[in-house]
This record gives sequence, structure tokens and C-alpha cells, in this order.
Amino acid sequence: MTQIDDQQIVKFTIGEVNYGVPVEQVREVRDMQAVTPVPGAPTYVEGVTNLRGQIITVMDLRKRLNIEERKGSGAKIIVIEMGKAAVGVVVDTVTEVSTIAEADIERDIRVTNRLEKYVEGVGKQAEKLIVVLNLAKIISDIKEDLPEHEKAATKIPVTVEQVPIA
Amino acid sequence: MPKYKMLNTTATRYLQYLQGVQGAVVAINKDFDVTYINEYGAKMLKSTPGKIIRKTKCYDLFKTSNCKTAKCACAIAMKNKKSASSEAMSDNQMNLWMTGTPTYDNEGKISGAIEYVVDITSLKRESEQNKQQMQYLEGVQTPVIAIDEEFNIKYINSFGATILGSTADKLVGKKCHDVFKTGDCKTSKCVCAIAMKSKKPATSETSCNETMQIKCTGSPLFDDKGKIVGAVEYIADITELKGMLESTQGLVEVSTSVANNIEGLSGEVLKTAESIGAMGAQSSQASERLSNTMEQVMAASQNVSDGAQSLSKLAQETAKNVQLLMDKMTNVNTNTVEVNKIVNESNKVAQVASESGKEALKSLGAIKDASNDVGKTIGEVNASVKDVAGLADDISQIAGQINMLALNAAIEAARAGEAGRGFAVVADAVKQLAGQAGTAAKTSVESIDTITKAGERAGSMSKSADQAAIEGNVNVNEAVNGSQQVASSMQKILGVTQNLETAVQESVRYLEEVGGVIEQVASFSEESASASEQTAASIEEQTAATEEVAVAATKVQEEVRKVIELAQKIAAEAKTFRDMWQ
Repeated sequence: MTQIDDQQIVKFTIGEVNYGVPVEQVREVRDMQAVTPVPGAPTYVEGVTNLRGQIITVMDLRKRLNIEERKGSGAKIIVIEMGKAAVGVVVDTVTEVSTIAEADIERDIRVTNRLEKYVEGVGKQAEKLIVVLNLAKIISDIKEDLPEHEKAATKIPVTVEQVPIA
Repeated sequence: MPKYKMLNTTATRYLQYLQGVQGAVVAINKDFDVTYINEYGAKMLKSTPGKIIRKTKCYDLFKTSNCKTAKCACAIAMKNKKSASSEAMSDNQMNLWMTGTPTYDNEGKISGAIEYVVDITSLKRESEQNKQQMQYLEGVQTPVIAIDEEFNIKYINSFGATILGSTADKLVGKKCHDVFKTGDCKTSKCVCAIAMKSKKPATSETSCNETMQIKCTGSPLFDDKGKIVGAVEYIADITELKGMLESTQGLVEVSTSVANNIEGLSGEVLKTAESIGAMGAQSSQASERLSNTMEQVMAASQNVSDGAQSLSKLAQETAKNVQLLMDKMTNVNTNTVEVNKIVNESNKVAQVASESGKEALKSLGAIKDASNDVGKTIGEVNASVKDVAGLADDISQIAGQINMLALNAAIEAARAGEAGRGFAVVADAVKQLAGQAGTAAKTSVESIDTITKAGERAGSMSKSADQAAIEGNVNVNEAVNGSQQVASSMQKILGVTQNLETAVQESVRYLEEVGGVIEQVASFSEESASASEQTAASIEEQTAATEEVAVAATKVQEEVRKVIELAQKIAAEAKTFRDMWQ
């Protein structure tokens, strides 16, 4: 994932903090839409939703990152490609697609918590710091976060009933 | 004492009497030789008895107009054998009254005469003046008549005769009631009849020949013994005065007293004149009465003068008061005219106000309609603005979606790598456009918000305006009613003040008439006063003269009586003497 060239990121926010995700991981951005809860899923999994006929799992990043719950509406869904499947990640706002020079990205960041492995680096742009996250890795590690007795249950159901499009 | 001596003594005593007589006593024989003249007579001729007796004829001494004529008193006395008198003028212009008494000789034949000469020059002069006084009556500019007890006219002045179209000569002797034919004639109201009966002046008003208003005053006439012999009537034409007195009733009493005094005066004067005429030259009693009467007349005349002056003063004061009243009335008139003018102007103003009020009402109605329209329009605008607000929301949402599309386009471009780089630029431009659209939509919403609030305010304002217009309408309605009431009140006031003006003008006109009448009264009174004063002055002179005459006449009469007595006694003694010697 490390590249010498300039890094293109999709910038988003949670609370006052600016985050970024490498544009390669992102399929698209959507307004928040109706989500059907899935029983037995981890608390940070909102449920499932219908994306142009494809059923995808929706995860709330706030909850996943242990940030207090969102106030008000207007959230966005960043759709992350996971091979042929995709997972929606709920954030506060998506601002823009931006290019940050590699020189402006601090890769060697030590975050003394279990999220450390998901932080790609911290970019500097116009005096603002942007935390670049590897959202694909966060999603793929969902199973690891589950207790053993829950791992089977969190298997993404491929045969879920069709949810009507809002 | 021998009888002749006694006789001589007696004769001497009688001669002494004659010497003491204060008049000329002359004895003459049949040839008019002076046989005796007393001291007074000699002194009168500036001579002495010694130079005259038996040395001159009597007609050479006295040289009167009667001497050597048939009028000579001595000649008449000797011819008729009784006393005779005649008036003569001496050569030095003295009026002499000469009385001749015949003397007889022992045989009873006329031997001569005794003549007694009195200077009556002053008496004569007074008599002339009496005649002049009669002329005063002639000068009176109103009829004056004197009648006897049978109503035969004895005297009428020339004014009276002229009024009747005749002359005094023709009228004297006729009955007064045949000449004047007044309403009182031959009735118990006849003032002359009343005066003769009551022995006091009487007055009454009546009409004469049915055209003139006259005032008759009758005064009784007395003879020397105080017996009624007739009456004097004074007739005043009061046709004009009557009208004048009606409007100045307060002055009537004064005027009447003036008239009465004048009438009384005339009566007294005439009576006096008659008395003087009847009395002749020697009536001392009549002279005294004349003198007394003159004093009364003078007093009466003074009363007339005082009365007339009072009347004049009263009339002048009244005229002054009338003038003051007139001035005040004129002021009132001026003020009334001013008030009229002001009221007229106020009336016009009130009418203008009323018209303006009606205009204002119309305007307020228009304002009300307009503000209703404004309110309605604002309501419509508000509705439109709400639609616009909805539109702006839509635009905002669309802008959001475009932004999202642009974001996704940018993501696609980035994933495309080098191939998508050009597209990324477009996506960025689209994203910026969407951002601008969103900002514009947001601004629009804010503006619309402001507009909506402004519209709401405008709506409530137009409602307030509507309310104000309604209130204004009520107020203006009241104002219009008020100004109409004012106008009608002004109209009423105008009527009242116009009446007042007319009344004041009539009052002023009436006062002017009264003033004119009073001026007439005043000038009449002044004339009366000055006439009375003149009369009083002339009467005063008259009285003084008359008194002198009376004194002189008394003296003369006494002397004459004494002389006659003496002459008779002398004649008797002479007869006795003659008888003795026979």
C-alpha cells in the first residue's frame, strides 16, 4: 500500500477531526439511506442495505472507533470495495477527493491503542492534519474483533431477503 | 272889627294860599289883562308879580297855541260861565294844561277868569309812550283781541286782523264768535266767558276753521273800580307745536307755563294799556295801579324769561344727551357691522371646513380601499415567497446531490489513474458549481426569510392603516357634522346680528328726529327768553316813568283841586263881601 508517488485520498470527517481513506479502496459515496438491522451483528454494524440491487453491510465508524454517538442527521456512506463485495462505512461528512504529496504524510505514527494498525499515516494539508485510515483493513478485521461464539454468526449472509429500495 | 276889615283879613289869607300854590295861578279881566299872578307863576315866567300885574295881557305872557283862539280855556269859561280846560303848547315847547274858571262882579256878571296852568310835558310824554306800548301788542305775531261783556270786539291787533283777511277797523264791533268760529265758541269752554266769570285767566285748546290747532287764553278786563268790563283773548297757532310737543312730552309742561306766562303778560299789558287810555292824563289812582300792574307784568315777564331759559337749558341738555346716545348707538352700529362681517367670514370658513371634511372623507375611503388592496397584495406576495422558499430548498437539495455526483466522479477519475485525470478536473468544477448553487440557495432562503418577515410586517401595517383609516373616517365624519352645526349656528347668529343692525339703525334715525325736535324747542325757547327779557326791560323803563307820572299827576291833581276850591271860596267870599256892601 505504500507508494512513493503522491497519495490520492477521499477526505471525510467525524466530529471535528479530518480523516482520509485511499481513493483505491473507495467505490463510491452515498447519502445515508435506510438500513435494515441484522440481529446478532456486532454493535458497530448498523445492518444491511440495498445498493442498486446489491446488498451490502453497513458499519458505523464512530461506534467502531469508540467515538461518542452522532447527533443530527446528514450522514454519508463511503462504499469500500472488498473484492467483488462491498461494505458501507457511515461517516459524518465527505468533503472532497484530494491529493497529498508523499512528503507531507507522516507514516511512522505510534498510536498506543489497538487501532494503531489501521492508521496509514497523518497527512499535512494547509496547516490541517488528516488521519489516513485503512478502512478495508478495519472491515476485514471485523471477524477478529468478534468473540469466538459470535464469529459464525457474523458471516455476511448472502442469501438475505431482498430489501426494498427506499 | 269892622266887617270890611275882617273881609280884608280873610282875603289876604286866601291870597297867601294862592301864593303858596305850586303852579301858575293867573287872574284876568274880560280883556285878558292880568289882574293877579302868584309867585310860582311869575317865577315860571322868570319875572315878578309886580312887573306883570296890570301891565301885560295874559296871552303875551304865556304865548300858548290856544291863546287868542276859541280853545282858550278862560274864554270858554267866561262864555259858558263854568270851568273849562284845554291843553296847549307854550312857545317854549311845554305842554300846558290850562283850566279856566269864570269870576263874577258884584252884579253876577262875568268880570274875568282865574286860570290855573300846569306843565304836563312829562305826563304827555308818558302818554305817548303808552301809545307806543300799545304798538307792542300790534307787533305780537299771533292774534290778540279784547272784547266787552257782550263779546263785541273792542280791539284786535293787526296780526289777528290779517289772519282773518280783514282790518281792525272792520272787525271792531263784531261778535268774536262770528269772526273766529272755534270749537269752543258759544260753549261753556269759551275762555273769555270763563275768565269773565271766574275773574281769572283761562286757557283751552281747540280747532279754528277746522284746519288750525289753536290755544286760546282769556284774561278778564277790569275798569278802574275793579269791575269786569270784558276780556282779552290771546290765540296761539299750535298746529306745529302740537306735533312737536307730542314727541317731547317732558317739555310740554314747561312750554305750557311759558305760553301761560306770555298770555298772562299780554292780558296784563292790554289791561294796563286800556287803563292808561281810560285814565287820561290826570288819573293818579290809575297811574298807581298801572305802576303796580307793571311790576306784576315785569315779574311775570321775568318768570317767562326764567322759564324759557330753563326750557332752553333743559332742551340743550336733552339735545346733548340725545347726541351722546346717538354716538353710542352709532358705535353699537359699527360694532354690529363688524360682528356681521366676522360672522359672515366664520360662516364661509365653516362651510369650507365642511367641504374639506367631505373631501377628507372621500380621501380616507380611498386610503382604506388602497390599504385593503395593499394587504391583499402582501398576502399574495407572502404566499409566492413561501413557494420560492420551497424552491430554494429544492435547489439546495439538488446542489447536495450534484456535489455527491461530483465527489463520486472525482473518485472514479482518481481510480482511473492517468486516464481519469482530465475527468477529475471536470468533476472538481462541477463540485465547485454545486457548492456555489448550494450557497446561493442558502442565501436565497435567508433573503426569503427576511422578505417573509417584512411581508408579515407590511401586512400588519396595512391592517393598522386600514384601522386608522376607519378611525379617521369616524373622526372626519364627526368633524364634518361639527362644522355643519357651526355653519348653521353661524347662519342663526348672522340673522340675529342683522336684525340688531336694522334695529340700531332705526334707533339712530329716531334719535336724529328727536334731536331735531329738541333743537327746534331750544331755539324757540331762546327766542322766547330774549323776547321776554326785552319786554321786561322796556316794562321796567315804563314802570319807572309811570311812577314818576303818578307822583306828578298826584301833585298836580291835588294842586288843581286846591286851586279850584280856593277859587270857588274866593268867589263865594267876594259875593258875601259884595252882598255886605249892598
